[in-house]
Amino acid sequence: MLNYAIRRLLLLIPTLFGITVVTFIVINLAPGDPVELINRGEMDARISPAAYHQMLHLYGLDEPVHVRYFTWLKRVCTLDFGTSFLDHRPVTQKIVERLPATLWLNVTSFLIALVLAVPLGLYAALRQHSRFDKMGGTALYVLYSLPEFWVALLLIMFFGVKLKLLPINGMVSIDARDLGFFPYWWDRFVHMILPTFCLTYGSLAFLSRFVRGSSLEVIRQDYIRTARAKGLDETRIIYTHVFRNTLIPVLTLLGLLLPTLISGSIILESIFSWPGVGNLFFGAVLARDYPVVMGLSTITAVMVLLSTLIADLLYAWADPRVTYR
Amino acid sequence: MRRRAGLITCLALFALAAGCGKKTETGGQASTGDSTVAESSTPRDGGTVIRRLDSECKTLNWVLYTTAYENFVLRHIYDPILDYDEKGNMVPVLAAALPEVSDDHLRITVRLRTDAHWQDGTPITAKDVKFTLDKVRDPKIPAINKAAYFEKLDHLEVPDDHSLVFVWKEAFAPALFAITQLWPIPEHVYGKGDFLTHPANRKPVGSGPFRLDEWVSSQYLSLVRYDGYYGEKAHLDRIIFKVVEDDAVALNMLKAGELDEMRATQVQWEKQMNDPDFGSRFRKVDYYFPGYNFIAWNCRSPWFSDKRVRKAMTLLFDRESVNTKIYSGFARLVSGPFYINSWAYDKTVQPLPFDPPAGKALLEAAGWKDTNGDGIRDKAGKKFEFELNIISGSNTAAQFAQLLQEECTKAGVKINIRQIEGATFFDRIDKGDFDAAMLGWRLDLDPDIFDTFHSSMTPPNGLNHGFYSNPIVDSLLVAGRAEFDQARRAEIYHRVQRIMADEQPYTFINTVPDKRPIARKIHGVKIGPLGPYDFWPGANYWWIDEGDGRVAAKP
Repeated sequence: MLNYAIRRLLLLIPTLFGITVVTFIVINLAPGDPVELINRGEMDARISPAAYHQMLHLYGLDEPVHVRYFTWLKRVCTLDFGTSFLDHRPVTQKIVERLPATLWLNVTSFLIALVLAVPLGLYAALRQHSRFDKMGGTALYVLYSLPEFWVALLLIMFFGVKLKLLPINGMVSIDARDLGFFPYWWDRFVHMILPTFCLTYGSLAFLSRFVRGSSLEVIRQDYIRTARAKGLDETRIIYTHVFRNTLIPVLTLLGLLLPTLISGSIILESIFSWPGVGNLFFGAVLARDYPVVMGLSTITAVMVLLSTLIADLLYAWADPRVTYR
Repeated sequence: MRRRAGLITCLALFALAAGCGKKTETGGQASTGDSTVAESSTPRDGGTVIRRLDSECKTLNWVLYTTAYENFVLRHIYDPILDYDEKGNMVPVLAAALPEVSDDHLRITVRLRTDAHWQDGTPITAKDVKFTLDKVRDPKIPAINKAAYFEKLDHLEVPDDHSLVFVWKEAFAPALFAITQLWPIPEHVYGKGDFLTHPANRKPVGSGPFRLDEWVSSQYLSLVRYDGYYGEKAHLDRIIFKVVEDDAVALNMLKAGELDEMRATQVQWEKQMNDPDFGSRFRKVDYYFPGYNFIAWNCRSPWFSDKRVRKAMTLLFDRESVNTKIYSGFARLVSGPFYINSWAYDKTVQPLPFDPPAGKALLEAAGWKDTNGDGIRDKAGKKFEFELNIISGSNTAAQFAQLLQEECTKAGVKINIRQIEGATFFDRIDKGDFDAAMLGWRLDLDPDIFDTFHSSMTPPNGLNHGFYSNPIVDSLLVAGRAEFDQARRAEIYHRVQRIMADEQPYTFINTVPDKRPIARKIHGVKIGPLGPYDFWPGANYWWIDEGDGRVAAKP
């Protein structure tokens, strides 16, 4: 097991190398460069070619791509992701600054989805073909297919403009810092309601269908039939036999979902002006802010690789039939 | 120094930076909205205005900022040396009087007020101005957008603490405009430490009537009145800039009372801002920003080297129906390369009419005939079939192009419309690598168009992407930028416009107003040539009706 884990960890290195090379090349192949883009759009005062090259040099962009990649790699090995082209602040600082907002939103949404999805899915599986199963299934599919940005706008119009019940923008009210402890957190809470809902309903639908599917498979197993045959009471069958075995594939899935916790939702974060990582990434791509794009991509890649590994290890831990050598 | 956009009207983010009115004949002309601003109430102190920022600010360092949003905020925190008022007249702000220009036009002397001081109490001196200019021109500092205004500046002399002498390499009429683009920052703050990452970039020490109170990253910026201001104090307690990236969300916030003003899209303006409730709470302000849409013809291509062909293309393009169909009549046709409200624009020059028979006749005269009966004109074995480049993602540009395409097909000219992604599109334009392209210019208030039409400015040297070349225009453009007398300069540019109306280096299309709803409870709103903000004092002296208690005042 330990041996396996170490081997897998070592394998991460070439994989990660590959990912960063490809990302670096792709973002550099994308047309336009930061110098041009920083000055395009609203203020496109003309830049003489000489001044333009001076700027390229300032950002180190006059070197060939492979040279720049290795300069970047060397720095990353010391965990230095460089500074943003846009505001010259360290990339790590920019990401860390945005992380709490995204984590707040995503962890909350993730927990809600999980807590609701497992019982929903399990219940639907136990009552397969019942009215609950059919109607619930239809409702969840409908939810799953509703685009987030559209739902978000409808909710904003209804709860924000018509009813004036909920704030529709940002993470806190203006001057929230002057509020007392409880009013402040209440303010934070009401700001979270709409974005959290929009972020949750899709994954809730998906997760609960997944749980239902995996429970159905478990229910049809021989050992469940045996348990029933030997007269075990239904509650015990469900909790000790069905539920636990259902969780094995879910566990793997959760492992894969972990990285999305920090990557943030680009669309929702921008609709709700949520100051998260998704927002940062989107802005960075548009502005060709290479250091920020590379920093975020690398961190996400590491997260994905690590969580796949963790999911695999958890799998072995949860299911004694699986062994790694 | 022009700013370009792939069809101005289609880009969501425009509006502009530090521009200010250079003596426009008429002020900001209202086209449809109720821009007339009758004031009944007297100024009242207190209250908060909440404005929309389309995007997060990166910095509040005047030297480093690049977007219109940053400029919105900076205009309250910093004062310019000189600026233009809402009528387009130059006014001194940090300067004690208007600048003096030497007889040879090479030396421009500006005296600063002696009572002005930074928001930490330190006096504002000529050294701060010099420091700022040095930073703008420093090759290690990314401020090329501002440095471009000072390319013809030789050096700046500082004879004493409150005098500045700008010495130019040649008589250069846009020099005065350039000086209005220089807003000093304090040397005693920025002089120490790394300029690019200076803490003051996010906590500026300004010179204006408002100071930054709080900046919550990508949420909002809160400015409060600076009571120690050397000039007339502001009325508002606070101005809050909320970051709202999504247009639809912004409109909802406006309606919910969480914003007091925003920039509206065409559809919002037409369809979503007409109910009586909206009308009773907001006035709709629209104004023509300097700029226009056009099709650039590549004069080096086999088709468009002949001015008769370029003219024929304009005659074949039903620009009026573009206005009515695409802009519901909200746009104006233009006939030349200047801002329609500027003294440089000759209003007597009419746009060419939509006249397909005349267009066809010109094509015949130029030798383009359909000799092989395939429905496409040809000449010396070369078919009249070309590529019209448009920026992808712009519906408006696509509709423009299709209108032209339809009419041209009937006239035996084949157009292949090609949509290209933004950066690649501009890359091709910059290299002059296209047959025809649909584009938009954002202009400065100074009418100098040397960079876009002089024959020495063809790629890769400048912005004459279509390789237009006319010796008379060349000499007029040189004369125009050296002429300090406005009437004589206007005459020069009127001649340029008349020549271009005949030669059609571009097919000049139209100019589209910017549109902003502004809450009626706000008073003191003046509309300059560039709308409600880009002039002195802009929104600095707004006041509002009795407070609505939305946001608390700040001590």
